[in-house]
Amino acid sequence: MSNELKRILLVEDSVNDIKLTTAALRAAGLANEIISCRDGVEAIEYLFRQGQHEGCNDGSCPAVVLLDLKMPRMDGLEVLAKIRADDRFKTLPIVMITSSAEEQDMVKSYNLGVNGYVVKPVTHDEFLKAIREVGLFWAVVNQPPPQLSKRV
Amino acid sequence: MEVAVPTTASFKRLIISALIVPIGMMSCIAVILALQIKSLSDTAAIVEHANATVTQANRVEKLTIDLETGLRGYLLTADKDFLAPFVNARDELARETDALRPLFGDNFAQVARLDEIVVLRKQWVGFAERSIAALERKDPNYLAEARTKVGKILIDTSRAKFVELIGREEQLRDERSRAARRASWMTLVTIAVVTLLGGLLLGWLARRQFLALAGTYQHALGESHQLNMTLEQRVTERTKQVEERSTQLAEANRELEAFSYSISHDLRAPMRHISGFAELLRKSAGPGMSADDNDNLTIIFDTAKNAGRMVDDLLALSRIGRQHLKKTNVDVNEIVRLVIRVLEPETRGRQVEWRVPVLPPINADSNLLRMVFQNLLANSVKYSAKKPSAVIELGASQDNGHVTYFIRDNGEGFDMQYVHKLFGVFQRLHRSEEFEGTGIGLANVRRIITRHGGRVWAEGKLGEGATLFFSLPLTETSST
Repeated sequence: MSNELKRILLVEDSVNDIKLTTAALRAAGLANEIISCRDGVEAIEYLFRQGQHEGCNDGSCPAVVLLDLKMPRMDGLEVLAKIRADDRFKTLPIVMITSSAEEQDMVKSYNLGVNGYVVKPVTHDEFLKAIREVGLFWAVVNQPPPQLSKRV
Repeated sequence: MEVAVPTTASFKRLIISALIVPIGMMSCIAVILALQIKSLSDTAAIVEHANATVTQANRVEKLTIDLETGLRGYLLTADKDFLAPFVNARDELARETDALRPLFGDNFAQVARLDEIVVLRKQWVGFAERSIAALERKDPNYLAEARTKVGKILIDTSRAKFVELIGREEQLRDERSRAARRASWMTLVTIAVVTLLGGLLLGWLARRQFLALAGTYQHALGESHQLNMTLEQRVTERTKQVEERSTQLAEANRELEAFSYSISHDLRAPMRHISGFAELLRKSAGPGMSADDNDNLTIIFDTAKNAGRMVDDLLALSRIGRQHLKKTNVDVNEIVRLVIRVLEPETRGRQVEWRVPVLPPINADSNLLRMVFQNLLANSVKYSAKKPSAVIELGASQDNGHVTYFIRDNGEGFDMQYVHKLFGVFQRLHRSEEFEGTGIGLANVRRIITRHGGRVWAEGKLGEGATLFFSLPLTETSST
């Protein structure tokens, strides 16, 4: 099974950031399907096959979840805690993509078991670079956890 | 606040009553005494009068004896010489008796006795004169009447009456005298009792007044004490208020920092979006874009980038305020080496001479101190960019428990007139077209140094360069 076929789950409340992140991923040459959720509740519904989304039932769990920190309804830390509390998603790669460089946000995220923490750079050049590197690493370079890809 | 301090009027009343009461009491005692003394002296006068009466009565009695003695002598001797006392006494008797009568005053019983005596005397004198006349006539029976004892009876009766009279008078005198003695005893006892009672009363009154006065003073004292307490309490309250106010200020400061953090945080995203979408636009337009459009896009891009950098610097500034200092013994030489290496891309192609001696270590937060050197050295590099050969010199000195570091360059410098603006937020002394920057760098430097308990200052001259100083307290862990 090839990694390129796996989806990238983008959890981000800002439409602009969804567009720019998507553009950055495409500019990096990634053709993976990008699923975007506008807040933590949608993301949990998608992953847990609740509500309108079918989620991972077709065997293509996301290669990585790009998770924003500050969102309405349910923020990134709550989403992270819920995902890690579920046995099925204990090893799902999750990377924080956030504007917050606050130390305590980082500490909390790592304590909840995040795989990476990326502060969105202000300049577009650096932003493009950061998103490309994250996308390429998790969607192409990295080998996903075996049990996650075999599941279902 | 009102305090019941005794007023002058109430004091006067107190003093007047304290004087009037004893004076009144003493006056009463004096009046009683005067009355008693008057009655005593009256009694004494009466007694004296009684004595005089008795004396007068005795004188009358003596004259009677003279009468009898004279008569007896003459009748025995028929010598006229013996008759002289009789004649004298007879004349005198009437006078003395007349003198005696008014002395009895209203005592009619005595007057009546006296009158009786006078009648008896007159009868006796009649008898005596008849006997004398018989002797002068040489009557051989001149003693006949005498022998009848009529004369003797008369004189004896008269004498008995006299004794009665005097006895009565003496009795009266003694009675009055006893009464006077009783009265003086009574007076003494009255005075003693009145004085004792008055003394007790005065003492009691004085005690009561003193207690009232003491009470008033105690009350006043208590109130003044209470006033003091209130004052103390007020000071405590005011101190508490000041503490509360400073707590509120600290709270407001924290909120302000949180606000500035969240504002700068929220501003980052739009800046990123502007430059991001400008870039997308440039890419989608491709090479077909006009030169003007391309320039305009570049301006949008650069402006957003600059604003974004400003936001980043602001974030750093607000973080410095909230961040906890992690002080260690910092090797300043290592920090300087690191910063110079980081600045290398900017000095590439330029002639920059670094003059760096061995610098003393200092007790500070190493990350923040690196930020200080980063800002100061970057400034020197930036403002000396237009000089053909830049010289950036570092140094340090140590005195009064402080280490002072300096960074000197031969760059653009500044006018000392504006030195006070150098370390302010968003304060710039040069146009941004000449030297790009956000105007926050030196504000950050000052903030970091201030948080370490140190201070920053600068010297400079326009066109000739600037020297920036900062001093930090030298604590034990940082001593060499």
